Amino acid sequence: MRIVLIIIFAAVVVLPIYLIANLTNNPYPADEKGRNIFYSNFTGEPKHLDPARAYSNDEYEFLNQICEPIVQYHYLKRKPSYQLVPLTCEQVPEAKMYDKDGKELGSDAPVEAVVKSVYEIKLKPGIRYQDHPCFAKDAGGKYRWHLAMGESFPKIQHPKNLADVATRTLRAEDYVYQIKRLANPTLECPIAETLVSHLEGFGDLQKKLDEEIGKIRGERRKNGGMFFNQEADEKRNPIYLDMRQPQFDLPGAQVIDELTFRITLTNKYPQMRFWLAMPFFTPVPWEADRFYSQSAAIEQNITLDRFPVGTGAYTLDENNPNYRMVLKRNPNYHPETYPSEGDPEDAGNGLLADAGKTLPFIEEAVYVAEKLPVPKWNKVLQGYYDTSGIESDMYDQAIKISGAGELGLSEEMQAKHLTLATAVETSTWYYAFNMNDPIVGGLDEKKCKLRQALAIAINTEEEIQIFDNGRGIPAQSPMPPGIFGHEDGKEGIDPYVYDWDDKRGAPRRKSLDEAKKLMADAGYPNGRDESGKVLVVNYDCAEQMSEKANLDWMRKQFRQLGVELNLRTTDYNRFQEKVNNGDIQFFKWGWIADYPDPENFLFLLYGPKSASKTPEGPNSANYDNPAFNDRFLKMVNMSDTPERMKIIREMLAIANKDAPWSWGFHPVAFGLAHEWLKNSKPMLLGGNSLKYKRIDAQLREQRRAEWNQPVRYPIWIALTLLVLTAIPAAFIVYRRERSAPAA
Amino acid sequence: MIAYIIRRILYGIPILLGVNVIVFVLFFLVNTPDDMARVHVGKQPTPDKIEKWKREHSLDLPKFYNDGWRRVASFAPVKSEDPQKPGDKTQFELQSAGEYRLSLESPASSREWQPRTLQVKANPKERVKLPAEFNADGVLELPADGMRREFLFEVPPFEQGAEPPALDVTFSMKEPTPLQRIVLEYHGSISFAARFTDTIFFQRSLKSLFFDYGKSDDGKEIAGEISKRIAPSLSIAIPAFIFGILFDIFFAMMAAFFRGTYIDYWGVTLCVLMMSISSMFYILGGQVIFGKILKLVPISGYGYGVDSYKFVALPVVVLVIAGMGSGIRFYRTIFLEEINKDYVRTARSKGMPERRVLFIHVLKNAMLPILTGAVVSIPFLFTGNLVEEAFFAIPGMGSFTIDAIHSQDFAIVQAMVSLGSFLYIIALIMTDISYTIFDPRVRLG
Repeated sequence: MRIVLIIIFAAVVVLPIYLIANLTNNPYPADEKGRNIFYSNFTGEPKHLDPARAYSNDEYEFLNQICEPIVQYHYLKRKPSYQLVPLTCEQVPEAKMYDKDGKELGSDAPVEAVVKSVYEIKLKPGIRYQDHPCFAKDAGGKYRWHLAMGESFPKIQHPKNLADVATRTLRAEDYVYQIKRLANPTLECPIAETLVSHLEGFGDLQKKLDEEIGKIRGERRKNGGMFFNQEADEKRNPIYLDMRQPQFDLPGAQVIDELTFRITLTNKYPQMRFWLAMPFFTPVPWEADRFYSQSAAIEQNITLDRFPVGTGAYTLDENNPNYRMVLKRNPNYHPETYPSEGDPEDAGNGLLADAGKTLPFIEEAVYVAEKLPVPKWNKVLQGYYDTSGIESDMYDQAIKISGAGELGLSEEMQAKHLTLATAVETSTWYYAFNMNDPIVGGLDEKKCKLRQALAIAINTEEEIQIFDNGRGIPAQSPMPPGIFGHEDGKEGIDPYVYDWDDKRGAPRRKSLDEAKKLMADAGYPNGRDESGKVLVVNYDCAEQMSEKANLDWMRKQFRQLGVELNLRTTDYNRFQEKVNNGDIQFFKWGWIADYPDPENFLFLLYGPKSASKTPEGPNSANYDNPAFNDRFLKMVNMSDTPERMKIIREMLAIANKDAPWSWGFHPVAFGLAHEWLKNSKPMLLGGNSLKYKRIDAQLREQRRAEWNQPVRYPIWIALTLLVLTAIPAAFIVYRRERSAPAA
Repeated sequence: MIAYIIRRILYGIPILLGVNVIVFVLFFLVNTPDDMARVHVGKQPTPDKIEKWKREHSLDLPKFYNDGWRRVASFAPVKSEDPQKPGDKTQFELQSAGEYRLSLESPASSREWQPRTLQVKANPKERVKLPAEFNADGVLELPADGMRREFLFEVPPFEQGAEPPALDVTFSMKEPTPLQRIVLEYHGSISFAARFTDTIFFQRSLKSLFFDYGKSDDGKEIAGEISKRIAPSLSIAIPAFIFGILFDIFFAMMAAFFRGTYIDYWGVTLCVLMMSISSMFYILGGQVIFGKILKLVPISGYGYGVDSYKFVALPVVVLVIAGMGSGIRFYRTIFLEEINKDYVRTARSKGMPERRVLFIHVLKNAMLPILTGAVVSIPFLFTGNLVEEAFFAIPGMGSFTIDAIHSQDFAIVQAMVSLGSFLYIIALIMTDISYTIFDPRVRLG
């Protein structure tokens, strides 16, 4: 009895006290203390880590650390525009171009003359993959984990749990294998369409694979009986297409020797070099494809889409996108050193201190799933995340604007020794008019003036200040800084919306009076047409993209010219549908670049790509000016020459006058880093930045201890109070039971 | 009793089926397969990509009933880069003999169609019977009325191994047109069963009744996800549930014990106050006080193993406190009702102390309504707490459901609703059974 009492006492009194006495706000296990681990977080779930499928930053944040394309963007040197440097190849490949007679042409060859461009890529020798069970062989030389149908694995959570792992060197055939995979329709590769029009034989391979899969599925359906379910069937018996088979030959991607392969395009397409820096063009060893295409793996959710295999500086050690993702240093990583040159300001910012040292620095990287901004921000301040973006809600706490208009960190941030870095994103938000619309559309003089007037009225500077805390720069063209074709200074402004202010050396928005004059010229003096009716413009937007205050602000801008704005908000599905069907007058939309080339922005205004002409066409404004289109076609496949700049200037001059868009703004990313994180420079393209970063774990431990001393006494006080309040109650009970029975 | 349970389980089947149909209909009212495809195919969805994605996910099938018409090819005219070109041409191969249907499809649009001509050429001519509307050259002028049009034609049987005939379709217009598709369908032989099984409903929805949840739209096994997420959800829901009931009953009994005194009065007032505060306030308040000011627990997050207690502590405390107001008041009412019954008076008149009356006799008899409330809420422990899991970044079932709704993932939504309704039915049966245990007068039958 006494023992039972002791146990109860322990459970009710001692255990809670013990637990409370040991509580801390440190969200990480105690054994991670002082270790060389990078801590970060993510909001969007990485859905696909198969390099043939991944296409969003949520995914690239991880995949780019694991799989290596042949080239990468220079980590530090980004001025005047982003630069490619070799990663697994010996040198950045240059395209050799040929005309229809097979004669080699120079790099300035006109687009129409080129019928073939060839990239010959030579890989560095001795690069090895991460250790992985797909490479493991038994004593007899048979692949240990390539099982026959029906055989199964032990129960595992991660491929690394399998007992035998091995590695092998990177070969040219691995790149070719992956390029062929891009044609596999079941993988739904998002850039397959683009490759069809450039890569030799890609469309044919796509068709062949489609037929092959159709045939297999058709047969299985026939034999499957009444309750055949394709999904269930393919889980049990996956379709594995070995891309090395001769029937799946792809003329556009050919192995030359063990370390050399050749990519052949059917035209001149200099943008190809940027694609080559993306995960679509990373190696996939056939062993991995075979390993992941067996039911033993698929049944346990072990897929290439979750556990990529690569040669990169890191391996994926844990994939649990609802909880956390963990990367670990790849011990087989090939020798690579920290860059020794950078942009002019980099040396001053201490970014060259580690020049020449072997990469990577960090042992392990933990990314925690964080859905909401407030808890995330608090953990940054407590020192539990090494870097952070700044969201609108936290802006006032983090940033102060000095009297001179300079952005700086608030005292609170400075006291914590945080550093601030900003970078203009390679994206743009724009306001577009539907050029097919009878009221706001059309290319005649009057309509152009109407749109120019409205573009002046939409005061982007104010919008950025009010709704984005100044985290943006007003756009003068679709191209943000860092992209060829963007021009700073007087030459770069849109002269229909801005004047150049010589004194400030900055553009100045034209006055509303000028806009009003344009309105009158356009046939809408004071916003009214001939019959005196007020001009009403329908503004369509998706609910998720604009909040109420922003819509009201927009309405106010138009009212300045006497124009009434009719708001039509819908969900994003309907919004897209309206854009596609042309049931739209005026709307806001955005674009994030795939690669740093003007083509990737200007194609949004290319006539034949109008939504009204090409189904789901990206030119949602339906802008179609032949003079612009012709120059676009000329500019598309040119190299970055002064010639190209000239054509872009001409294109912008046309588009500025026609004003199919109000150019809107380019968002600026704000990043905070703690003092113990070294070599941090915001990287908006490529994103394989983890290997460059370094952590001073000692300093971090010290700061965390300073900032996070638990305060326990209020709990003890509260518990004591609770016990004390029970005393009068106990007294009442005692009295009642002693006194006469209740009435 | 066994017969009763079996009967109840059988009743459950039509209910589950009904829930399935309702979820299916509601979901597809809001999201079309095209919408779902657009979410997944990336930044620049083209009709081809959408079509492929739908086929890959069995979403190109009819919804409930398959009349045997199967889409064999489709093409969107005017994908030509050259705006000067009058039209676009495509070739459809007619793989087998039988009935075909060529239709012009256009998404609902307020815009009028422009006049155009449609030319269909069979190759070789004699092997395809075109409908009468077309002239000898296979040309048809279409009026600009925006109507959907269908043309039926036949391919007579041909020898196996022979080159299949083909159809050249040219679509020309005087003006650029809104998007359209030309769709070729084939009427194959379809068995009676396949008319129902070759449908989205059967392929995607019905199997969840048999606990086969299949894959989510991004290719993960849903059953595996659930098994991973259920532990975090339960690690918060179960302690919160148990402590919640214990505390609620304890305080409710105190209120009943001290009924009429200042303790009861202020207790009930406090309860009403606590009920009126939104649960969001408790969550945020808890995070600020315990996470930020006192620095006792991590503000959000989750850990597995022994480590998890520091993450679980705050959500559990918050859930218990947030539920206390209404819980205490509910149980207090139950106890007060029992206290006025005859057996209580008898017990008191025997001279039994109030303490014993309340904690032994009344508690036992009040068990029945308490059980009803408690057992029925068990399934919700499994489906997770939507708001709290989001705020505390707990990788549980609640956040799974919310994310699925955001990304228009039908398979997950369907799975979660099916699972929820199944558990609910089971819980109701368990409540009935528990009655017989706690109240010998109740007989199931």
